[in-house]
Amino acid sequence: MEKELIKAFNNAKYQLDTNLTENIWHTIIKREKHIKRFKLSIFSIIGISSLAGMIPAFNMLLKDFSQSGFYEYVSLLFNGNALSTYWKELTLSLAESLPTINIILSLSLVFVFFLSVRFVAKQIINNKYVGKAYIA
Amino acid sequence: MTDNELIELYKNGNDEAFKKLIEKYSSSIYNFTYHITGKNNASDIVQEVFIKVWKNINRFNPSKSSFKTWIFIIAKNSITDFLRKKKQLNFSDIKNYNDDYSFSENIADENLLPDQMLQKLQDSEFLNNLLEKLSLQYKTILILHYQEEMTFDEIGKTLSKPTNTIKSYHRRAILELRNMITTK
Repeated sequence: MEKELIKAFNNAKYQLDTNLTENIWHTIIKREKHIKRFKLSIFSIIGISSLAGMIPAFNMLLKDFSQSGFYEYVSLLFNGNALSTYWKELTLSLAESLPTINIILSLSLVFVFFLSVRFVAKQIINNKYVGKAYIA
Repeated sequence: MTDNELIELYKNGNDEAFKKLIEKYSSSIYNFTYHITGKNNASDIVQEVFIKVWKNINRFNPSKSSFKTWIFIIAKNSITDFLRKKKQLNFSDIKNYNDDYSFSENIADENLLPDQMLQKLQDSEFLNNLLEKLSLQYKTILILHYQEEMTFDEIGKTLSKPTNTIKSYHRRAILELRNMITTK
């Protein structure tokens, strides 16, 4: 009975519209390209914003370095006598004079910038190969 | 190449592998959808199914179910959504059985459909007419079992029902088919 029913049900199969598979494929490719273009613009905006943000952040960082006396402590490092006698105090003062918040901010912006550059490059490469058989 | 290998290839950037999956399953999904929703809506639903598969391919877990079962679950859900929108029956609507079946329950599986009836079913138009009249639940089980050659366990996973329930429904579906042939 099983075999006869399988045969009967297979005879009763409805035939697929020949264009349907291609249409589905093209719809998916179109959507994939759209999503990739969207991601590309988002990451580009983030990249450009972080690059623009880096200018004031670095200006502030340089200003903070000079205001905190960091350069003076650094110059003392090259004074052989001071370093051998007061190395502990000098290291502590040097650490204290670091503008930590501004350093974190500037490094974060650099990190975000490089991350978005990486994503943009990836999206461009992927977009080029959407619908293709193989990515080299 | 197996379905899992094609999925892996697609995840590694080979888009053509996904096209191969569409080519492999579009006919089955179309046929399944056509039987339940009719020709006019089948193409749109099939397209929707493959878009859902494409969007959720990373969620597919081969250790839980085969790709075939997974795609049929998505198809079933898409059809359920469609039927709900149209306020028609859905897959979980269970037919109330009447007592007419109590006698038939004692018939052995292999004798459920005599050769003469099986011969009649070889006429595709006749069978499709019968399927149209069959309840959604029964029709689904018969199509998945005999057209897609899915096991009762796979059908159970697809319809979220225990295997024994599917076996019982299958038997009742065959009996319903038998009754319909007799009354024709």
